[in-house]
Amino acid sequence: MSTIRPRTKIKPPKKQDKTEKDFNTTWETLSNAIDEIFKRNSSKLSYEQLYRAQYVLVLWRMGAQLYDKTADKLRDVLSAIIKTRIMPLMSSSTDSSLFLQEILTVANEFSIAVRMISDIMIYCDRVYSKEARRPIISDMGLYMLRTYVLSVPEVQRYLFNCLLSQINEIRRGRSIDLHAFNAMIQFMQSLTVTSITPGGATQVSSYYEDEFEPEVVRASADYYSTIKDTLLQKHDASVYFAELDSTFKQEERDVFKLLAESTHPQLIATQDQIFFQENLEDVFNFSPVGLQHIISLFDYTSARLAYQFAGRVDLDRVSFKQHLYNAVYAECDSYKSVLVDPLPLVDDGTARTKVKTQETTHKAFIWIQKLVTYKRKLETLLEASFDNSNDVQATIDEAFISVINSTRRAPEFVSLYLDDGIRRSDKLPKEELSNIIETGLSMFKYLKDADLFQTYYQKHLAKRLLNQRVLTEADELLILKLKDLQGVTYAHSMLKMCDDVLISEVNKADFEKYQASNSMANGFSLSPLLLREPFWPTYLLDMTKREQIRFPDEVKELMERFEQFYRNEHDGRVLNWVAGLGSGEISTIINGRTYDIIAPTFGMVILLQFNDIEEDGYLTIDELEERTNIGQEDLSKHLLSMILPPRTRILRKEPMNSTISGTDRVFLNREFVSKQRKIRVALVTPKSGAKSNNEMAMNQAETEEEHENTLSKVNNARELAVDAAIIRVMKANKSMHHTALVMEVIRQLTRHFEPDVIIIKKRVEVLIDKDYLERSCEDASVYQYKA
Amino acid sequence: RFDFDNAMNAFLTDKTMSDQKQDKIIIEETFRKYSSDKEMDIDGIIAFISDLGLNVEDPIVLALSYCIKSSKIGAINKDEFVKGMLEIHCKTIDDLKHYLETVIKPNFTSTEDDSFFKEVYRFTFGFVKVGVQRALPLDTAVDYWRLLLVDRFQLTESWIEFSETQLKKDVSKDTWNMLYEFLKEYSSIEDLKSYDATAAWPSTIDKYVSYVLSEE
Repeated sequence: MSTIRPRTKIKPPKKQDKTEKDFNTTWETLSNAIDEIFKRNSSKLSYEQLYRAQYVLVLWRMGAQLYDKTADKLRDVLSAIIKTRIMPLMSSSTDSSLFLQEILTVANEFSIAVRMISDIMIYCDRVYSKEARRPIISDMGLYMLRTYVLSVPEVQRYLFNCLLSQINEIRRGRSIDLHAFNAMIQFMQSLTVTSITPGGATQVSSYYEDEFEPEVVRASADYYSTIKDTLLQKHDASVYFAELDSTFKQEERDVFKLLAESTHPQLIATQDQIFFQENLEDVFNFSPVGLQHIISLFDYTSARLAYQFAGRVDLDRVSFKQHLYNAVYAECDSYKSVLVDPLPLVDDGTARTKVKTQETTHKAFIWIQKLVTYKRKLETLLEASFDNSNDVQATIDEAFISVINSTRRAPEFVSLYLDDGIRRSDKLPKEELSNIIETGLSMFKYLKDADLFQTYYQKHLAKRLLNQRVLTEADELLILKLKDLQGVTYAHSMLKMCDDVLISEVNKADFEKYQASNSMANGFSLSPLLLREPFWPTYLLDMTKREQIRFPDEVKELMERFEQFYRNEHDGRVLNWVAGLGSGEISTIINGRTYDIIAPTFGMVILLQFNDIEEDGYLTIDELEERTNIGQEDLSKHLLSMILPPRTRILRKEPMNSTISGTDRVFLNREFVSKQRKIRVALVTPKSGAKSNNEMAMNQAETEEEHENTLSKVNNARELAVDAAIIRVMKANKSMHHTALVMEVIRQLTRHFEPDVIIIKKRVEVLIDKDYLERSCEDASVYQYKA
Repeated sequence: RFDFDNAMNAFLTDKTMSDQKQDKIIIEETFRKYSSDKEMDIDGIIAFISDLGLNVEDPIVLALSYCIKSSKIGAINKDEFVKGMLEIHCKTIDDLKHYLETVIKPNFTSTEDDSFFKEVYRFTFGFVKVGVQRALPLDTAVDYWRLLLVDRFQLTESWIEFSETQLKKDVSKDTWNMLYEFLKEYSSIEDLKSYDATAAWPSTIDKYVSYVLSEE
């Protein structure tokens, strides 16, 4: 907007003629002087005379005419300059920098001249311009320059083409006359106009901002669009991002510095608009190389660019995160096939048997391992490409959570994974063990059914403790971590189980001292584990409690001695022997070689029966049952373990077959030979006929039936937990709306499992029925606690 | 023992305690027409009801039982009877007949305000339930739903069919009470499409809705 007002001629009514005449002569003087100035003959001029001339004119109230005439004069001068100096250069044959130079020279000369004129017109500026609110003469001169040179359409068009083509040269990697270009940009910036906004604020805008900037943004948009069209045709997100990255870098390095800073954000916005706003989603979806593909390849560079670019148009990166989620979910989901598909055969013969017997366990292990490996890789990706963003981490976690929890048996598998690590803990390097614990725990954190994990962990821990008889550092560490994560109650039984093992150790030493001091050794030794029943998985103690087996006298004597010792120490405690969980070690000489046979307690008891049998004597099955009081099923299991597998064929049977009947005769196998001194008897499980190390030794995945069983037990515990939570909440609130109650109960329980709304509803009904709660008379959806 | 309710009644009805005693004697006389015992047995009840001009099968009998504070079906306790009658200011069969016509019937059959009817419905659960069992046997429940609800709510038959063929389970008090609210709120199968299973309805009703909608 221009501040030059339309010419208003203020003409005093009197002395009009005379003044008119006087104006012309006086103006004549000034006009001639201006001509001289433009001819660079200013030295001839008398400053005093000229000053007086303009002074007089202003005094005569002829400032407006003076001002207008001066403006006309300047315009004429500029028109002449265009014709003589600029137009001739506007042809394709002229070097564009020559053209720029000439404009700058013209502008410079003109500015000097205008400054001189304004020096003369100082009184006009101070009195007239101020009064009439018109720009001072020097500003008016610049305005003239802007209007009658740079804004003349053909000049402007030529000038801009000139500048834009130079930018294009730069974009093509060629060099230009930077000096002329920069000077031109600066000059355009210096041509400012001041305008008043409708709000009343003063706004200064330059020719650069008003005229050139929109042009350069438009031209850049065209340039970017061309690039985009080419890139889109390649259907490759990786290429798209890489090319853009280099384009952006080049723009910033070469082009941005040519332009005013105010232009940079506009160009960046243009880039965002053209490359991302409309297309990013399409680019992410490119097939085959879209975002998911990039992530699955762990292409750090492309992934980083995708992350950066997504952030340019959406700070929350919603679409980016969705693709990431899908990629992670799909990858994790594909691992499920290892749980279903048959395992590949392992070349090593021994491994193959192992694989066969523990198929599910092994599959579970592979499954977790795959997840863990993938998670580690994602962590590297997160660091390398996604700035370790918490937000992105949360997306990855979400994908893991939903995949893992969609696998029904995940809690059991995670516990098995940890079990495997802990069992091998003395053979593993420290870092690897802590790695296993770390990853196991990170998988644990993804589980929604923490209570189910607790059940399995307890079960597996029990077996480890019973088998190894020591508390490993790894278990201790893990339990403490679980305690930190889930609270004291969660780890309570586990801690108590560990205590039992530690106390048993101390107790064993005391017992030995006791025996030594009373000289009661009989060639047998006993190291009982003292388990406090409430803390150990019930099935362990249940399974064997009913067995009242008859121990050989020597063992029995020892047991009684222990009971006596224990009673002395802890009066009033009840001891029950759970024979099925222990094992015994027997030294014997067969064929002149000494062997240490380690067998489950039942096996040991069976072997001991042969102590008082002559060299080639035998015992029938019935006799064995009678002597030991071991039930049929267990008896045959333990006998077969020492009859069938060649490595532990300590006994033989007539007839030699794999069934047990009452009249079968059992002999010690005099032919037994083994390279090893230590013979470990593994229990034959009649179902598969395959061997496992020892009933107590190895934790394995449950069969489907066992799993259902565990689930139903856990479900019962859950009902109790829901009941307790409802009562707790209602007791605190007295009266509560159904929805609020359900939400609060869920909130309190989610750390242990994800309660189902339907279950909560059912428990509420049960509690209403049992008169703990009632519905409010006013609103049946509000419950009241009945004290 | 100071009986606040009686004292309040006496005050409000401007009757002295001796008046009340008089009333009590008359009520006991009424009771004795049907039973010489402390409890009126089933024959006495049948006579009593027919003297009132009612049929035993009439649902209004339940409303009457509610009003005279009878605690269980098949017997009327004298003390309860006296207390109940005093409360509604009836002494004789004629009083009661009058009360039945002017108060019970209009309230029980009112289409604008079902609060009395609802109270009678809720009362019925405890009234017809025998023994210490918390739940009402399904066949009993069905009989009374037929008696009370079929004419009132459109979905009653469908509910009864569901409970007999699918649920086959005794009815808890909560289900009994909430069923009334449910049938009142949802009057057609079309309505059930907007049913929210996470709301406070008992799960038996959730099952009914999902059954009906899956049958659709």
